[in-house]
Amino acid sequence: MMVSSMVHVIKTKDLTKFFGKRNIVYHLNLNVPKGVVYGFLGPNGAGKTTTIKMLTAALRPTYGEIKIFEMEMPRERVEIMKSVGYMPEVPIAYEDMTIFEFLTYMGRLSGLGKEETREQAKELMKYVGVGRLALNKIKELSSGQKQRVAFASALIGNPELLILDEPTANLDPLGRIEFIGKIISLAKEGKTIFVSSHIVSEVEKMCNYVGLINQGRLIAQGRISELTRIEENEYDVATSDNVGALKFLREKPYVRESWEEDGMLRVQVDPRFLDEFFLQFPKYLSSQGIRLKLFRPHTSPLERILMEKFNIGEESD
Amino acid sequence: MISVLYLNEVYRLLKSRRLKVMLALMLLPVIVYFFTHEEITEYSAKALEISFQINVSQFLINFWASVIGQLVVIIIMSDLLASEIDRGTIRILLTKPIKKSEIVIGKFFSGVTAMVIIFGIPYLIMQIYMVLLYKSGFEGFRATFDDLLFATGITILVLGSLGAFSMLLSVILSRPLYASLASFGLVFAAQFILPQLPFFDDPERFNLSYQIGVLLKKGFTLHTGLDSYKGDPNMSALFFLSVILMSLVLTLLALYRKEYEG
Repeated sequence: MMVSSMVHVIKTKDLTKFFGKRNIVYHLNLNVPKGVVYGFLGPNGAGKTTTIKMLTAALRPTYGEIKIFEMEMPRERVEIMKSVGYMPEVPIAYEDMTIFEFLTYMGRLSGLGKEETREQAKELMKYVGVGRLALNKIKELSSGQKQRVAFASALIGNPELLILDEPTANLDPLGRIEFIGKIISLAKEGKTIFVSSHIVSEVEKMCNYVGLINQGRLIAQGRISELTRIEENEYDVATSDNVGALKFLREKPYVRESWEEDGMLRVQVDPRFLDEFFLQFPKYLSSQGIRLKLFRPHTSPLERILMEKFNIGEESD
Repeated sequence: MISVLYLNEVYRLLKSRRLKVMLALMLLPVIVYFFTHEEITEYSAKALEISFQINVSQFLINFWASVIGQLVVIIIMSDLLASEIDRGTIRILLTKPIKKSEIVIGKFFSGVTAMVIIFGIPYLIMQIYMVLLYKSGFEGFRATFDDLLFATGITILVLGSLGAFSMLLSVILSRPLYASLASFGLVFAAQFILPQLPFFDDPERFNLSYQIGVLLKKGFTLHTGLDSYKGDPNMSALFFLSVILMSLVLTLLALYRKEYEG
């Protein structure tokens, strides 16, 4: 769901890509508002990387149009790229260069002056955690370190829009957490970040907008909070007296099923009677002196939307 | 932006082992000359210039611009763009505000700079050695300096056209090795197989070394042996210049049409 008056940094219209007769991306209408972290979420092979390659002029659309900053891609590529930072899915770099050489080269190509580039390169190397490796050749780095260098190269020149393709793919768990923190802080600076991923939890943590893509088609798009506003009907509950709580739940006809699992209650409620459930259940617990320790939807909202939209379980590929 | 790309590419080429090996290979004629040079009977700047023109012409036609020199140029030039496509770094370049024409021109001129180093240094060493041999001092150096520049210019013009053609093939084939093989195969066929067909008069003119002889005629006027190379140097120069321009334009078109999946 989009608000039409919003300023869109990326806007595609009927973006379609065929490889031979194979349809990879089909009538994609992306709308990425300014200043959001847009998660481009979909399973492997959904068409995420192909879309990003079209956004970065590596591939030409079979038909459809791309506008970035209201300019047409690829016709106005040079102008557009003055404000875009890109990080590919597999870190690509000049392997025979040192990290510092690579970043200064990228900075100079982004239009920075000599001194400015050197300063930014030094700062970014520290920022992404490869400061001590500045004079190491890129071919000597681990894949995680290469990923950090690629991130620094996307940030050099302080671009307004970041396009990141599976940015955490080669990072270890700590690196992922650190990376998500950086994305959140970059978003606070007002940057628009377009990040593709197939990891729902990561997208939930760092993005406020999401586009769901499957088999080349955009299934849903919008603010995560709006997309996930559909009511839940399966919950995880933990109380100070699970047996007492379970007694109440089993008595109520609108509770379809309830059972205890690993010290936690799982409750399935008839969606038509959710209001009653929310009114009566806390009241009962309070009247019995039972403390509610935890109450949450059984699946993460985005994960559930994803399962619904992609028909997972019904037509899995 | 073009200067950034050019300087970076030249820096990378200078650091590469490949360039050093090729430079060493191109120094072979100079080493041969050290041990086999003619007996000096007249010590003067004029005698030096005549000898310089004769020796440089011979080495240029028989070695520097022959099969070995051509192979060296093909290897260098076909790697410039194809390695970017092969490694995927072209995708990084395309996300920077640099025009595709700047990429092609920057790469071509960095290749030309590498050629100037690979061929120019041996020519210069040979010149200095001959100046010392003829004991003609600064006067001798000045007398042969124009010839040195002319020989380098002719080398760049002829082999540069081959290099530009290799660059075009490298963009089409996307792999440095395939492009080198294809360029060499085509050049070999054009120089040595095509002339075997009975349809052509003076088949030797298809040979790049022969054309070097034709072009040298224009500047190496003291070397009368070059008169045996039939042909108009101006027309040859125009032809090679056209090949360079055409190849660069077609390379640019190929770069526009190409998609980068890898």
